Parts: sequence; C-alpha cells; structure tokens
Amino acid sequence: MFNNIFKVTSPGVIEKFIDTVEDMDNKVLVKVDTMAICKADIRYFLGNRDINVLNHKYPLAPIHEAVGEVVKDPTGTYKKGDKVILVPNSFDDKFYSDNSNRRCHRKDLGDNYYPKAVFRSSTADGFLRNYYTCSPDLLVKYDESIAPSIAVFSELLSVATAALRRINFDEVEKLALFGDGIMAYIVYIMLRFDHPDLDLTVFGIDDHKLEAFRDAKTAKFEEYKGEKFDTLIEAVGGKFSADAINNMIDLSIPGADLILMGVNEEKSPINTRLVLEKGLSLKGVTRSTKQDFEHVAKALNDKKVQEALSIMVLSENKINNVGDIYRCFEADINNKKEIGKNLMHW
Amino acid sequence: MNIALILAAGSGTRMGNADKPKQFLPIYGKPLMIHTIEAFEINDDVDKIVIVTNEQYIDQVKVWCKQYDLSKVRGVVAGGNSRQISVYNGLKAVEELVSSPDDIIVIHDAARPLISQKIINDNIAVCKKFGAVDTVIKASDTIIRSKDNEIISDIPNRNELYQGQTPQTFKFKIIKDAHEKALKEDIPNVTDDAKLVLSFGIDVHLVEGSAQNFKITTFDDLMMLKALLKIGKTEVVL
Repeated sequence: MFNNIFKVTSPGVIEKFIDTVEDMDNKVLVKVDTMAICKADIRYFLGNRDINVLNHKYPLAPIHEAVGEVVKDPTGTYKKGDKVILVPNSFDDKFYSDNSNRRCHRKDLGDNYYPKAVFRSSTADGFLRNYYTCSPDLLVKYDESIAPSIAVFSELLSVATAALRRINFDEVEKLALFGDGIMAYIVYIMLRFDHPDLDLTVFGIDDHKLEAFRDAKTAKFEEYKGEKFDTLIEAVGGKFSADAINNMIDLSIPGADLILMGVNEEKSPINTRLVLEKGLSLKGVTRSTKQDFEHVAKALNDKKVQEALSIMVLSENKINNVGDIYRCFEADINNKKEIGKNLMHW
Repeated sequence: MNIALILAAGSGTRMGNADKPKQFLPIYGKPLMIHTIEAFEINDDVDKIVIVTNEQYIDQVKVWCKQYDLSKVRGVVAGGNSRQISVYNGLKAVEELVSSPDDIIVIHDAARPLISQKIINDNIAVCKKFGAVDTVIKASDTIIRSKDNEIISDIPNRNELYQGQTPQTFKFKIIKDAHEKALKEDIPNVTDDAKLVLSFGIDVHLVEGSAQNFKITTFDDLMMLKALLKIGKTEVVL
C-alpha cells in the first residue's frame, strides 16, 4: 500500500512524498488521526537552526505529537480500531550493546538520553503522514471515550511527566513553575493531577495567559514578595529562558532543585556565583519514555485533565493538501496570545 | 453494505515488452494490484471486496490475497473480453454478497494504486445520497476534438470538462439493471460504467478525484509511479 508523507525540504517548504507502507510481521499498522505542531517543528519549518544541522536533517517529516487508530496488528497486541498514542522514540537491537552509546546509569534517566536515541521529527521522519508502521512497544492505548483532539497533547504531557519524575516530591514544600505558555500549562496540568495539594506558584508575564492556571497561585517576578522555593521548574524557553533561570536562582532557597525544560538555541548566561553560593542543583529535561506515556494515558481519563486540555484546542483543521498544512503552521507561528495549538486531522 | 469491485483483468497491451499485464507487475516487491486492493482493505467503510481478473491469474491472485492478508476479499472471478463484460461478471459475484438492492458497489481500476482514502470515502458518502457517482478531476489542458485525426473539429469549453477516473460507485440495483439492460439491448463495449448508467437516464453525481490517482496504462506511467516512490523512500536517520 502506498502512503503520503509530508516533509520539510528546505526552510518554509513542505513537499508531499509517496512512500510504501511496509508489511512486517512484527509491526503494527496505524492510521494517523490527529497531529499537533511543536515549537521544534516550527524551528525546522522556518529554518531557525544552524544551517549545517539543518542540511543534515532535510528532508524531514515534522510532527512528533500524534494519535492514531490501529488498522492491523499481526502481533496481536492491539485490536483493530484501538485508539493509540504514537511514541516518537525509536531504538534498534544494537542500541544497548554499542560502546559509543554511553550515558549515566541513573535510574531516573530514560532511554532517550542515550546519544544514539532516535526521535521522530528530529533524527527520523515524524508523523506527518497518513499511515505509520511501528513495533507495538512504540504505541500506548488510550480510552476510546477520549477525543483525539485531547489525546494529541499526550506527548507534551509525557514530557511534563518526565520532568516531574526528576523531582523527589517527598522533599518538596514550595514549588515554583516559571512560564505562562503551553509547556508551563502542561506541567501545571500534570502537577495538579499527580500532586493536587502541592503549594504551587506560577510565575509569568501575561495576565491573560496566567488566568488559565486556575488552581495555582500566580505571580510576576518583579512584584513577588513571598517566601522562596525549594523546587523550581523552568518552562519558558527561547530568548527569555536565561532571564527566567536567573529569576529562579534568585528565588531559590539554599539546596533547591532547578528543573530546566525550555529549549533555547542561544547559550544562556546564568548567575553561577549564586548557584555555587546556594548549592543549587540544575537538571535538564527533554523528551520522555514509553512509561511516561503510559502514565499520561491514565491521566487522560481524569475529567479535570480533559477539561484543562480542552482550552488548548484553538482550532481543528482537516488536511487535504500541503496548503492546509502551511495554514496550520502559520496559525501556530502567529499565535502569541493564547495557550493552545491549531490541530491537524486527515 | 459497501462492496469494492476491483477490475484487474486488463491485458496490458500498451505496456510495451512487459511479460505480464501491468496490474501484476511488482512494485517494490508487491504486485501493483495488491497495493490498490490494500487501500480498500484498510478502509473502514468497505465491507467486502470482489476481484475480477484474467482467468489464468485467478489462482495466483487467491494466493496473494492470503499472502498479503486481504481478509475482505470474498471472490476472485474471471473477466471477459471487454471491460463491460468484466464488470458484469464481477456484479454476478457481488450479487451473492449483497443484502439489499441499495448496497453500494465501488468499482475501481486495479491500475490506479494511488487511490486515497478520501476519494473512497467521498464516493461512498455521495453514492448513499444520490445512487450513482463518478470520480473526476477538472481538465487542466485544453481538450481538442478531431474526428479525422488531422484537423480540429471542435474545442469544447474547458470549464465544462473533467477527466474521468475511478472509482465509479453505484447502488447495486442501478448498476446491475444498467448492465442487464445493455446486454438485452445489445449495447456492447461500453468502456465506462457512468456512461452506461447515464445512457439509461440516471443522474450521475461528481466526486473530486486527484491527479495522484492516475492510471498505470503505459510504460511511462509505470516509470512515473516508480519515480514518485523512489523520491518517497528517503528516510532520514542520523
């Protein structure tokens, strides 16, 4: 069977390719249903990365946030029609035995931190395609009562889960979340699901966006006069991430943990003097594991989680051609005011 | 119930020196017609599939159906000397499967492997409403009519012209009656089912096709398909 797959071939250009869907006895055939665009996809689309890196990547199918429906599963793991979240990680058989593929043996680090880990829409083609075949290990079933336009945020929720996994919540008394955008909101949703009674303060700059964080205290850094924090999460990214990290350092009590989630293409100058003085720990978090997705599939059943995610659906768009894809990318690129995404359906 | 009738009985006389008809030629290790049938196999709206093929290939096609796990295929029957007879033979096999005269029959050329799910879905949805559907794309080139192959007789208004593709989709009673009437009235060699249905005064509604849904008729078409696929094989893994 033939399959349409859409790839970024150069900055600002997406082209349709026709591929064959391979029949393999140990793989599941999934019809991709709903897709969301990530900031990383936008960077590849706009060419906002080092040109030498981009030239190695193009042509590259974007999208790593997607859900689909099982069409066929010769392995017997899933039934036809099962709703599944697509896990964008990928590992081959030699992955663990390769001596050049080393990382720390810390238990809280996922397989995705191995240098040779493959990630869809970054080091392998993403999900902007009609059909996808993969090992059953790279799918997570979600309840069919949940709308695909809600479940499509699973990858983001899984990254939030991966970040929260790095925190020892037995020791947390006051937690600060920096950011008022999509990632911060997603972390807020998972924090409220996993730790509803936690003392949580969200720091942002946009009053309208901060209103979405209903079940948390909200504040602006310049105006904040309250107690300092033992755990602080940065979910700002981009050019403001350095400011956010320095603000977090200022608001840390000695020995605090700082979790960094935001991607910044530039190097961030940070106040190392205070980091040393306060004995702070900085942990970087990006991407998630299959286990994080499984936790998210449970969280999706929670009505509060569903309700919180529903405000993130800015529009739902039927994709018939490349032009429709451009329009969704442009809508997401131009959205500065709302926490949410313009979703794509086939 | 919706039944796909796949026409794979062509002789492939325009394929040059190929030793077998185009629908059986392997494309990346799989017969062309199997790629086409898989598009119907995975479509949720298609319940059953009947294949019309060359008599000497029936056993081979049955083996392929098993090999490629085409579980919706309910019949593989022999075609005839013309497209019209092949469709009619297929309809006789379909008759044993239908549960109502309003069941929908989606007739598609096996040599159009790039059929999209949207076109199949649109055919079924519009047919449910109107009973007879043809898949078309707007004519992009100016169409010239010449009766003697030497001078132009007419240049029709392009805005009114479309190129016909398949699927052509009908309620079972409509297409079966049209074929039986044609046989009775000795109307032979109608190469298009929409034309046949239209000739009996039934409206045929349009569904938008796609340039990608082209028919592999000539060697050049086959090269075009292979070229498209070759480009698409690029997978980036660093």
